[in-house]
Amino acid sequence: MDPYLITPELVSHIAELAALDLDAEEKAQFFADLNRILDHIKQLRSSNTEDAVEFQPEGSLNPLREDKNMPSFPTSDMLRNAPEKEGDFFKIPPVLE
Amino acid sequence: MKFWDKTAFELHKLLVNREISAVELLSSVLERVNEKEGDVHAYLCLMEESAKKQAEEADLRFRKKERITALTGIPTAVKDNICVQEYPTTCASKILEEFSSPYHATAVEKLLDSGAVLIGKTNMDEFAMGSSCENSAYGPTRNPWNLSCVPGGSSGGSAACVASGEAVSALGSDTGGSIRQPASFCGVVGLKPTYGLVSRYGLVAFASSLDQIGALAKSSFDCGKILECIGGYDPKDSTSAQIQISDLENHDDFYDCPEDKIKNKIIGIPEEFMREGLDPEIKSAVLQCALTLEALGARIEEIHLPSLKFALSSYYLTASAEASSNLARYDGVRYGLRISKDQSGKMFKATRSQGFGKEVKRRILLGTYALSSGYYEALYLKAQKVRQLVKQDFDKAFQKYSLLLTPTCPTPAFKIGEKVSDPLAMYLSDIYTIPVNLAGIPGLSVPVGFSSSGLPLGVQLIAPQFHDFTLLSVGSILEKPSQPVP
Repeated sequence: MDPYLITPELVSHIAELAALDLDAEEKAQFFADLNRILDHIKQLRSSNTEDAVEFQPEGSLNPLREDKNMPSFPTSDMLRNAPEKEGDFFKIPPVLE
Repeated sequence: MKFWDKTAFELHKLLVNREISAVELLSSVLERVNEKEGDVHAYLCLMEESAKKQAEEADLRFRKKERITALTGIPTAVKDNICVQEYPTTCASKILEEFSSPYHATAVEKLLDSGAVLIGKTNMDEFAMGSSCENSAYGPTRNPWNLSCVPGGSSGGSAACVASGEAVSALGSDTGGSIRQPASFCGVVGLKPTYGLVSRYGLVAFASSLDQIGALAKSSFDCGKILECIGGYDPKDSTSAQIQISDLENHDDFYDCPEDKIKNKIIGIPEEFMREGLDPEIKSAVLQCALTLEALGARIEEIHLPSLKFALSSYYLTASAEASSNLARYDGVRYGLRISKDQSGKMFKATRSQGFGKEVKRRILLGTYALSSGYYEALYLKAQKVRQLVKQDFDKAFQKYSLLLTPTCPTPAFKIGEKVSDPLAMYLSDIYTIPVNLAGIPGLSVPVGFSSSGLPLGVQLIAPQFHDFTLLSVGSILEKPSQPVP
């Protein structure tokens, strides 16, 4: 399994994971594009990362805020952009078919 | 009278001396917008009504001599991925066409506190993914210096509006070069600050470990004044650096005697940035800048940063992986576009498929692949290890060198349509700017002249973390203020 070579089936599988519907033309286009990009990226193989650690940003990691009450946005503001709502809730179509 | 061709620094003096009012200045810039916008298309939305109120408030501050800052009354544009309350934030995407921000970004809040006048939201590549502004769902921006060329991207609208005089300065965002590359293409100054120096609160996330808000303006000094205003710790951004702007190296006197900041300093030119593929006119512009700095007492040396050749590959895996995760939120539930379907899963897919443009889908697919089971180690983890190597190369270089001098881009602005069907060629446009984002350090592009075909040329300065004002100081030596676009 060469990670730098993608198959048409794999493009369909990734699209499914990413919640994207691709038509036949898009599938063919992305299959070609991704392989061209991966063909460049495969140069990473020649980098020596045997002793390398993964990148860690500098500074404190995951700082926690103080555990105290803070004002938050009014519900009405947060619902204002909702495509569909009911009362104080976002409304979506049924989850199960 | 025309004022749109002046820097914020020059305008500030006129405003303080009451030679012009902020309302007059805004009218002059809006007239220029009327004149140029049909050709340039830098804006997605103008905020005229609120801008007029802000200009009146600015004039009140000048009358009362209260709360006057370097930005009071200065017409400033905001990239359309940065939230301004009650106005659209579309990120140049169909998926956010109807979205209006319920709150201000911290950077916007700070601009308003300082009395700046926010004139409009600027065009960009969709979700900041692109290097030409052609990936906007609302049509491309054109380069004011040559309308058949791109302005660069993704902050193409911000760079173009400053170059054309449709704003005095602008906010942009830079994930892999999105401020510096368009600044170079349009002949303006563009600063990508140290990662964490400017709060990302209210900046629509693309790749959170790389994204940074910064400034585009007509001079390094103007960029410095914007950084002073928008920078600093913000508890609303968990990656915000716990540092005061006033504590940064060379902050207090960044515009005074810039020559002193380079005397006896060693400046490196990475050999990897000067190889084949670099336009000869840009190469000679970089070498000319080296001579200028040398004449002022700096020592110039060629250096090697061996991991840089892997930076582009590491970047595209890292940025796409983060984007695929960040853009999962666009599902038609809480805001933005919804394509109605009888079941939620179908609705998510239909919404995303119709709402996102081609480049955004391409990167979501690449990122999803890099994070997917079976490929994560070979792709994403490998990219993170290489990212660390790139950072170590810079760390090592800065033990000896105060600054690095490089080209900003391999070429001047290219033609609209030239690279649109070749994503890899487009990505290569950012090859000199990307390593700076991977390492989290500051980078500045300054205009240094024109190509034989009349297009602006830029050079890049790179400094260690938190040396942003050293960059601006040296930038002020190298920048060649160009004649305004006719």
